[in-house]
Amino acid sequence: MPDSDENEILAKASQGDRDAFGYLYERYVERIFNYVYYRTGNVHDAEDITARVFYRALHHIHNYRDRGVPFSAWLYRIAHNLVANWHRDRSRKQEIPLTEVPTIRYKGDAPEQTLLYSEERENLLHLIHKLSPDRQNLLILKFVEHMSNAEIGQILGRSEGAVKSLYHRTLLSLRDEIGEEPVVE
Amino acid sequence: MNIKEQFVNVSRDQMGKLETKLNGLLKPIAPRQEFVSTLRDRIHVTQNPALIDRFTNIQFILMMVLGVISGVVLVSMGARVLVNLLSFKKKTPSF
Repeated sequence: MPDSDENEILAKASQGDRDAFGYLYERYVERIFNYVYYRTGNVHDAEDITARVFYRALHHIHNYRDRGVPFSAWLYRIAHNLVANWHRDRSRKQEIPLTEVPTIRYKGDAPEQTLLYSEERENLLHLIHKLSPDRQNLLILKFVEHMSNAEIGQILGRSEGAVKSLYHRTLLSLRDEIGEEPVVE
Repeated sequence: MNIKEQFVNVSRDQMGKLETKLNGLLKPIAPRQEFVSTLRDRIHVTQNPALIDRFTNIQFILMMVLGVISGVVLVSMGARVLVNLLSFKKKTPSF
């Protein structure tokens, strides 16, 4: 959808048009869910936080102004803040063991292939969760959402060059972590 | 190829492998359809704050208009009572 169309829908949504907001919801719900899931590693909390992202967006959309930051970046920032709150709250509570996390299905994969991925994915997610929030965001946006450095920069509030540099440092850091732990091959 | 170039090549190779691994494992996942549809319904049911604001504004304007009308009626009634009282005094003969 061209940006001009999205701007029109945004204008309608900010005036209380529920169908327009519903359209935006349909467009972004999977992306936001994916982002939150990979930041939390937990389907239940991912669903809860995704729901809160859209409630918050609904309640503040009339305040949204296009200042060169796309609507998707605005949504991701809401999600980022809610995930940060979740991590802060969770640090005060007991952690949920990974064995309790239900198996999720990758889009387009057969169930048996999902099981094969599961262990390797959890090991890698464990390492990714050790990285700083910005580095986690970067990897998720790049590999899950397939965003360009420029798009990631808009969400993280950094220049394209800074994102490129952060990406390189993140890979180095992850490589070192993998070297230290007997996982993924 | 000197040692530095070899090191850079090894490093690039490792990075490439790591990127391939990340690409293979960090895949988009599909949220439960039940979750997506339930949330969609809830969002539709939720009162939109933009509409609430609009209604609140309309109520406020209506109250203001009614207040002004009531004020005008009260003042005009008071004035009329005063005028009647004054004219009554004038008409009453003094002994």
